[in-house]
Amino acid sequence: MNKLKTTGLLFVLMLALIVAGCGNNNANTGNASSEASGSAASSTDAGKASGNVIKLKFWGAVPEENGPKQAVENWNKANPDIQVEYVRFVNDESGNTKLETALLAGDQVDLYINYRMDKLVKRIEAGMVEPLDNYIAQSGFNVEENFGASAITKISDQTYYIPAIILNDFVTLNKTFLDEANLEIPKEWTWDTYMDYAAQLTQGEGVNKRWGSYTDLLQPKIFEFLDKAVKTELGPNAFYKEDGSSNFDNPAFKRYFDIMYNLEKTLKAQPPIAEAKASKMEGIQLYLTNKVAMQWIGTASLRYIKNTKDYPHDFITAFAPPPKMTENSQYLGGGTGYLDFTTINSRSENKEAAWKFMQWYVTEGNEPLIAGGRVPSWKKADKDKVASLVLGENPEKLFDVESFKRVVFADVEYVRDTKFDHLAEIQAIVEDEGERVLIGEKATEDAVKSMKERADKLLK
Amino acid sequence: MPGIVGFGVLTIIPIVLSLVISFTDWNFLDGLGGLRFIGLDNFVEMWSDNWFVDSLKNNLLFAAVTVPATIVLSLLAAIGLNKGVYMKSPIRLMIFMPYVSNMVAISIVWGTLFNPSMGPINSFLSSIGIADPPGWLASSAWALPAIMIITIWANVGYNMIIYLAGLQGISRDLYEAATIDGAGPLTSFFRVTLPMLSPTTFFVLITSIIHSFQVFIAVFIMTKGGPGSSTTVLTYYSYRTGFDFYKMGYSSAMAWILFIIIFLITFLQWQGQKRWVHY
Repeated sequence: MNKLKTTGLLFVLMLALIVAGCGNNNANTGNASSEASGSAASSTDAGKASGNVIKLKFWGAVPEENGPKQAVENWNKANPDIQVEYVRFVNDESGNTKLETALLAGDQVDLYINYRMDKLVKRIEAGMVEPLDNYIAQSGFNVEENFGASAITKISDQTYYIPAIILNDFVTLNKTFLDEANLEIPKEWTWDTYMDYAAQLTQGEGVNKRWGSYTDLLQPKIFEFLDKAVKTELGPNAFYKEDGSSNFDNPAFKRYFDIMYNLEKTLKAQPPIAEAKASKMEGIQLYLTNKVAMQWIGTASLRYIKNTKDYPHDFITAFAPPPKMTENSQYLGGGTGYLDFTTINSRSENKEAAWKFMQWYVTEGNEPLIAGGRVPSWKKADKDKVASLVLGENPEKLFDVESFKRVVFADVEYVRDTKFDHLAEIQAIVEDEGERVLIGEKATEDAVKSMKERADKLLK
Repeated sequence: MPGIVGFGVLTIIPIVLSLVISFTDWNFLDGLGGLRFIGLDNFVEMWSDNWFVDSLKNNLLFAAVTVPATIVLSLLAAIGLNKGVYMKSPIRLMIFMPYVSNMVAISIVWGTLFNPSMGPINSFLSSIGIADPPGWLASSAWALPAIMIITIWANVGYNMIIYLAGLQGISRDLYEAATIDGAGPLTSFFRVTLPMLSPTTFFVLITSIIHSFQVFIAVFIMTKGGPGSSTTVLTYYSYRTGFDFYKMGYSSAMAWILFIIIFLITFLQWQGQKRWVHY
């Protein structure tokens, strides 16, 4: 009997706690504002002579030393009343989960940068992003004049983000090896030519092997590169058909896996993906030590090529646009596009101040990040200055400047996706099936068929 | 009493909530307002989900291999160390070391050892004349065995210590009596040591099975469930559905299936112990 009583009591206690726990959670949103403003006020009382100092926290994924620290310092110096602190998260699955948990738990995140459109859309749907239209109207900030008419995709008719940069997709080539093999710097090419180049540039065996081709900066990925490649042919929303089902029966998908399989297994011109992953190969390291002749990655590699202290090398890097699926592929900017989608947290206590900082950051503010290859999407940025910042002090020694300008400042149309239905799961399916293809355990045809079936089941 | 409160807040409430959530379709980004009850849908849907079925298969296979292997190896190690050997404590320490090491560090080190082309394991295998050594983490046939090997290696030490304690508890008299009755070393092992150790074996069996279903870190660090779905296990897949796919309800439902499986297995063992455990 006694036992029963204790259990009963415990149960009641538990229930009470649950109810209290839930209740608390709901009340939090309301309370948070008064608490936070309270603490802000007390910090100003204690602090600076200038009076009202607002402290902002700004989350981004670029390592602090590659520009953000400088950018924030520049701002803090010029604006003693709004002090910004940069918080870095790593842009991978767990890093994004960390950011989302912080947003959910009501940690101080005033502004944050999104690096994937599908994640941003999820966050907008969850109400974690403040619509900017009111702020834009009030401050008279001319979005169209500053970023062009097509830079921002409106979601349910509202502006939620501003893209700070354009990320360029291209292939970097070791010019010494090109010259040796009597190959020209391609101005436009298809995957057939690319495979040809890769085969011709591959040499040696075992430890001395030189690979013709490598994809990605460190270890190769499947989904992101498939995405870039098929977009040149299919344009926006490449994974979906009009009727809402998946698009994996489009020949472009099979074609991409055939190309990769051919490069890795038949031509042996590119490290097999499973091995590259298992042995933690680093593409950029291999490229800069003459073990890889062509690397398809884009912007991210520039920082390393310029870092001659840690990666001394004596060849010139040439640039080619990403290869096309077919001769008539229209969307050359498939992998190039707007990025660094800057947003304000809808639960921020200092939205006005955050907007002030954001206006500056997405225009002139992110200049310290240009050296890392992040070309600003701001229309008024000085192109020559950008080029010289990107290429560094001795461009002729490291780069073929002509091909750089041709590729990076090409006038191509970017592809903007608007549909992200179950994209995280579709990505996992592509990686699952794609790995089987590239290991050689499943024929491309069967794998693409399974992708279609599995994705359709999700989308129905 | 503070213990009970702590247990209640940190364990019981989350468990009850996860049961509630498992009957819903919930994207945790939406907050509590997004909670939508869908009855048993999650529990029905999972049986036609390739990843779930593969994870379940992998989990069962994993348990079927690692549990017996760990038990046999740790028993052998314990018996070896219980008899007089040279360097007893250094050896015991060496075997126990992996258990107290951080699993993340272990996974990273083994990831390097398993490197298919340049790793020490395959270099060794090819030096003793194996022409085509396994691709380990880079092959879907060998990735799960690779993780099994690490798990066995890491768990033998702990179980060995338990067995050592068990062995110390067996009275010398029994062996003496057996010898007088004419039993050789083998007979006394099977007739005296094993039966006397059966309570220890029972404990080790139950904890090892539970542990084997909880394998996560090695998968998360080394393979991310790949290649293909060859190393996807329930804990990892339910983490993914929850935090990558934002399907908390589905994720909780899978966690409950995992709980039910472990519960059933343990329950059956308690029933079965009467037949072979001698106290």
